[in-house]
Amino acid sequence: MASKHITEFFLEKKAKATSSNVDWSAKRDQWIQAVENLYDTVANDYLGSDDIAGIVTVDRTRTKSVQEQSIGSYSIHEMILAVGDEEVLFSPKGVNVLGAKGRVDVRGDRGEATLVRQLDDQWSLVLSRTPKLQLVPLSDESFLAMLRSVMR
Amino acid sequence: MIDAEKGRTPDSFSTGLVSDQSRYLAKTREELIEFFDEQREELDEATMLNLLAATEAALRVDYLVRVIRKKRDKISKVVGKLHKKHEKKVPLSGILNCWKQDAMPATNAVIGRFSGALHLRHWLAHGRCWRPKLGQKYDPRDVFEICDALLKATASS
Repeated sequence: MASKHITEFFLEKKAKATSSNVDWSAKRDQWIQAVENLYDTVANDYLGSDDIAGIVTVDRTRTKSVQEQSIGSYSIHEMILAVGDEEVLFSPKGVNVLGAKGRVDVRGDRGEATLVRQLDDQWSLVLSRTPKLQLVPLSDESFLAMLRSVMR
Repeated sequence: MIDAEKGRTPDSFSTGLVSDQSRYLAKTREELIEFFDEQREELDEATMLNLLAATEAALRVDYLVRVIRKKRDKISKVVGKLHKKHEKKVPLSGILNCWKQDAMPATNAVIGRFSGALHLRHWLAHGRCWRPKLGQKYDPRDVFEICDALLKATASS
């Protein structure tokens, strides 16, 4: 028979797990939608002008499978920007990240960048993590700076 | 401290208690665990190198003290001969051999363990640029016990 202490230990664990009461399905769906909204912003606001339309190709058909604790496995779109012989991949990492509501990794031939969905649902670019965390809101200017840092 | 941080930080996923200025911002649970494991491994290796280097320093200081004071015990006589041959540029293996020559089997075993750990010291001190054949896996506790045993054994003579 389990001792009183062991029973208390597991009851505490159980209470801690149920107290958060998160609707994980809703959280997953909001995350998937937020990523689609990000892609819309990039495709329409930053790359939507007629001058660019024939130069940059935006492919949003590819999906990736993501496995996250409490949520399980789900599919989410990636986005590929192609210009000339270069590609930049926007790949969602997950919604369960520390201190934010999701993260999208951006990979080009020269490097990687990180986009963070902040608690107010705004997207920001991580400029640096050390010695001090530096974030800038995603805008056409910061988007361009990001592309310059990850592309050849 | 790293272990405490490793235990505390993933809790922030459920509590939400994290600064948006945190260097861990937007890391996944798996990335955080990997990050702390790497930090722990780095700290362990730095600690082991320090322990082995400090023990080597203690042995070298003891060597010089015996030379300067011209002690007449058995070890000091062997040390004196070694000093005539090498002076200050004596290899650590030479100092350890002084202790082996007239030591008890138990001391020899301690010296043998320390000599084995010197492969770890060389690998760490040279920037870990090859795949080491250490014969055993070391952690800081092992290395502390090895160094402590050697210093106690050599301090008694």
